[in-house]
Amino acid sequence: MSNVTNFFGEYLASLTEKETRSCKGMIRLAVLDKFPGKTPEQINFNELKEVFNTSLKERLDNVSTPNTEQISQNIASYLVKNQSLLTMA
Amino acid sequence: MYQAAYLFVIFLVFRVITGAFLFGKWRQTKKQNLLLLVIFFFMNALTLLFLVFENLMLYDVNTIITMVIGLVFIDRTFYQDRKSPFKLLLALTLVLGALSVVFLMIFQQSIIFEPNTSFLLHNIFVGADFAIFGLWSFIAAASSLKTFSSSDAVEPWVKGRYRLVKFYSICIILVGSLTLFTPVEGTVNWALLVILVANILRIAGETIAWIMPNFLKKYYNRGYTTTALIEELSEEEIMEGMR
Repeated sequence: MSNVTNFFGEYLASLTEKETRSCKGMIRLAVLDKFPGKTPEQINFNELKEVFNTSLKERLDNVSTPNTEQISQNIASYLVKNQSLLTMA
Repeated sequence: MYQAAYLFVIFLVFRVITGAFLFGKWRQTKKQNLLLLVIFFFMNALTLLFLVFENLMLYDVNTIITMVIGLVFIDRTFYQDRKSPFKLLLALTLVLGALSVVFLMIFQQSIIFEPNTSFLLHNIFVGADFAIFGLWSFIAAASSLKTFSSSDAVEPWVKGRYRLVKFYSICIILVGSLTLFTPVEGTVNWALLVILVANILRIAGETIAWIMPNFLKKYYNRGYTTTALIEELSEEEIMEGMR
């Protein structure tokens, strides 16, 4: 039951060209940074958007990923487009 | 009670069960749009109660309020930070709803028009409200599903839920479109019977979509293997994998 993590993890993998399971883990870690004890499945649209714009970007910066600003924007836009998954999944 | 009232009571029970189930989900997740859905189902149950007691005026008013909550739910679930026809549809729903109430009053008082004419106009406005709601619900679910239907990251049961939303939305559109052909109180015709079947299918669809029992999830997910192995990775391994 980790549709949200899988979905955005796979998208992050396509953006960064890194291993999918590392990207899924990255999303989980970014959520934990902002909302300790919570999973991507347990937070709402605005919270996940905030994660993508802040803690995920910071973590990507920490591993010297190029174009983090663009990646952060793209994944946030992807969330806006697919936001219903947070309720339906 | 009249005969159809027993059927409405059965519908009502299903609405209350779905609402109570979603209330439990909302308590776990605290997601606001789930609470909207809870209110939608309980309001719908109340609407049916007014139908059981043959209070058409309260039925109409409650139907409009329920539609408005339904529209807010669609907007908050599918259209946050996106271009949305919400305000337009809300205005249309309220105007059509107000007109339906006015024509019901005219029908009940037997003033201005022939009762048949005012009842027909009332039905047109009520039906249009249903059709608008159903159409937007269908479009929202269909366009969202289209964006990830080929993705393996989303479990088949989730896609199944979207398909069920599409299905019951079609039933709502059908109900709305055929309301125009329903006869004046006390008589039964083909349109009323089709509406009855569409309502049974709608309620079954909504109940299954939102409660979605585990055996059905397993059925949808047969043959599906998840690629999620993230729990096995430590933070160091994740960060290393990202370098």
